[in-house]
Parts: sequence; structure tokens; C-alpha cells
Amino acid sequence: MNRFAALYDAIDASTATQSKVAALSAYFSSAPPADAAWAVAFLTGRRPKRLVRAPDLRTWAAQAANIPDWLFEESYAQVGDLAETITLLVPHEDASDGASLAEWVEQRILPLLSLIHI
Amino acid sequence: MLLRLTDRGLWCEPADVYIDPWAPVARAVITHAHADHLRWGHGHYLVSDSGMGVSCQRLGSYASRVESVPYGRVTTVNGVHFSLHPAGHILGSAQIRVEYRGEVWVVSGDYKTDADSTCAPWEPVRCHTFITECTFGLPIYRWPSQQQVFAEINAWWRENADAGRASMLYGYALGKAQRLLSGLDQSIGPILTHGAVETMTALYRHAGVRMPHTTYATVDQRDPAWSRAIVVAPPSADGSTWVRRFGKSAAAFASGWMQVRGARRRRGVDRGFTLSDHVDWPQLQSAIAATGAERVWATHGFTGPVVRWLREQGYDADAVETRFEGERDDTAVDETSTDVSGAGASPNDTSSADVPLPTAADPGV
Repeated sequence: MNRFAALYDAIDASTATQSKVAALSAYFSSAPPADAAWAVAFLTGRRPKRLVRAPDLRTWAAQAANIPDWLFEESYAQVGDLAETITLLVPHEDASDGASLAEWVEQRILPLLSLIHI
Repeated sequence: MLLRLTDRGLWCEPADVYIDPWAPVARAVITHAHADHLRWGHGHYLVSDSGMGVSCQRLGSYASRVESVPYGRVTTVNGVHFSLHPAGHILGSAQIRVEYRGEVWVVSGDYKTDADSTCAPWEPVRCHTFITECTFGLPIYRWPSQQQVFAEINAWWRENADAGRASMLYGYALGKAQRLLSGLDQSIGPILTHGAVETMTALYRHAGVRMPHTTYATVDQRDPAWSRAIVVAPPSADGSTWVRRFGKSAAAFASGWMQVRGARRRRGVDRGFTLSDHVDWPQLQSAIAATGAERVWATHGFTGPVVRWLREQGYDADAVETRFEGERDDTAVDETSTDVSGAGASPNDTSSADVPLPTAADPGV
């Protein structure tokens, strides 16, 4: 997961196409195949859909950040992107534990589907 | 009320003294030398000793009206006691303490409470009423450590130098530029400056602040060694003809606004480094608590959310509508930085100081 995050940062850190291509090429020539497959899925926008409801994410993020809901909404209005807002608000201390991208997706994120009660 | 907001600025009636007024007054006490706080046309200016050099530079022909005092020394006007205390924002920046008949108010000006070797550190000043900026008054603004940001900047510079391109690093000519300079690793390559930055940096050196060796990149110069250089320049230089002499280059902008990706993308530079001379959300909370104030007035920035939050925490809080601007991600930051030839602006040019620009921090949008 750390490597994928580093790839994302590298793509985000430049406005030059050449640098972005170089970062992608370095990632895909060294990433384990299972990670690389998920990386392609995410980078081309084919992420798993509706595992968790967005309103739940907002509520939990506000709780984790220890702020009222209205302050979460003010923050979201300034940032303009829900995922980024959550990233900026929740405590940074307990960061990644070194699990790979494939482990994150297959063992932690996808199983959330089973928690949804329709 | 010991201090009141008038159409000229924050006014202390019993002393007839204004703090950072935006229209001409007889007597002004100044928090710091940025253009939205230090303006032309007053009869008398009181600034901190360490702010004397930069204030006089900014005031040009008005410099003869400036008087300075050391931090902490009390100046009494009609029974009102004024003193200046370090605000940690830029060289010479001060919070203004005002005491009258046992009541104490403190005007923060702009301030930050984290590390910065280029100015005296912020000191909490106990008061009944604290008037605070809230430029970055939302919980999304939490600054990384200065050490981490400098490491990122130096790594970016090294990568550019090794690839044969100059590193254009943009930050305000007064304050931000010198803080950036203080964190650069001189072993990577030469450090060049824009004229507006060089002028202010010389004043920092004169005030005893340690700065690395810098070379002022004049208009008609070029040098092959510049491909390894970092160039510290005001944001207004981005995209100007002045920049072209450095050949192939990468650009970065240093500001608190760079915390948010959208702001980085709108800026259109390769990199954004989160480095601010203002308090972030956690600093704002701890600073207010440290003053012991019961009443808080929020000036420029996210006043709406900050006032609501403080009221929920039990404070007597209100927003006051000043003309201070905080940290803009706009190019025309102060008039010393808009002159891309590097010669410095005319002291009579008040255009950028007087234009009411919408701030990126307007919580109403």
C-alpha cells in the first residue's frame, strides 16, 4: 500500500507527463502482480462501488476527528473532495501497517460489503 | 469596549490610538510589516525594534515617522498601556497588548506558534479579550513539521539539480522567502534570489538573522551553473520573462494553502509545499487557551466556523470585519513582490494594498 501511495504522490507531484510516465513505469516494473492488477483498476477508475455509504463515512470521519458534523461539512466545502477531506481530518498517527495494496483491497476493503444490510 | 472597530481600523478610544489602521490616522501601533497591516499615510508609527528595518523599507518616505520599542516595554498614552510581544509570524512581528484600568486586550496580528529560526517565537500573553486571526481556521489545516517540509524541499531541489533543471521556489518576499532560505541545504547548488527577496533578506541579515549565501539574479545575467540552482522568488514572478533566463526549470509554491490538493492544482505549479506563517487549527486552539481569554474576536479568515466552534466551547466569541487578508494564494501578495524586474516598488504605489480582493479563505463560498 505504501508503494501505491508513493506512486500516487509521484503522479500528483508533477505537471509534466514525462515524470508521470516515468513514475508509472517504475511502479509497474517492480510491483507484485496482484498489486499491479489492483493499481491498474484504481488508476483507470474501476474501483469497487458502494461498499460503504458516503453519509456513514462522513459521520465516522467526524467522530474520529472529534469534530461536530457541521464543521466536517465546512471542511468538505473548502476541500471539495470527500476522500481528501477525510484524509485531512482523521488523526494521522495510526498510519499504514505495511500491508500490500492487494491485501488492503481483498482482505480489508472488499469484506466490508458483507456488513451492508439491505 | 477598550477596542472598537471603526472604518479606519481597530481603535482604542481613551488613547486615540489605532492598531494596524487601513486609513490615515495620527497614531498607529503596528503588528508587522505586511502590506495589509502596515500602510502609508499615518502620522506616527510604533513598531518593534526588530521590525524597524523591514517597516522602514516598506514605508519609504514615511520611515521618518516610525518609532520602535523592544518587545515587552510599555508605552503609555493617556493612561493606556501598550506593549508589543513576539508573534512568531515574520521578523519583528508583534502581538499588541493593551491595558487600561485593569482590563487587558491582545491583538494577535498574524501569528504562528511553531518553529522558525528567522523570528522571535510567539509568546502567550494573558488577557481578557483576544483578537485573533483565523486565516487557516478549519481542522483540515494541520501543518507538517517544518523539518519534514524542508527535507521535502531539499529532496525536490536535489532531484531537479541532478536532472539539469533549475528549481523555482515561490513564496512571499517578506517572511516566507527568508524562512525558506533558512531551511535550504547549500551543498546542493547555488541559491539565487529575485530582487524583492534579496532586498528583504539583506534586512534580515542586518537584524542578525542567519541566512545562507544568496546571489541576486540580475536582469542581464545567465550562467550554466544555474541549472543546479534554486531560485527563491515572489509568486508574481511565476510565468514572467524574468524566469526564462534560468532555462529548463521546475516550479513549486510554498504556502499553507498547499495542504489542499485543489489549491495546488489551481496554482498550476509542479509542487506545493505546506509551509505557513500562520497558525493551523491545533495551534489556534492552543494559542487561544494559553491566553486565558474569555472573549475572542475573530478577524480575517474562516471567521464563521471559528466563531461557531468557539461558542460551542463556551467562549464569548464574535467575528469582526477587518481588512486584513492573511495568506493569499493570489499572485499579488504585497507590492514589494509585484515588481518582477526585482528593483522594488515605489513607496507611493498603494494599488495592491488598497484593492479589496476576495480571499480564498472566505467561508461564505
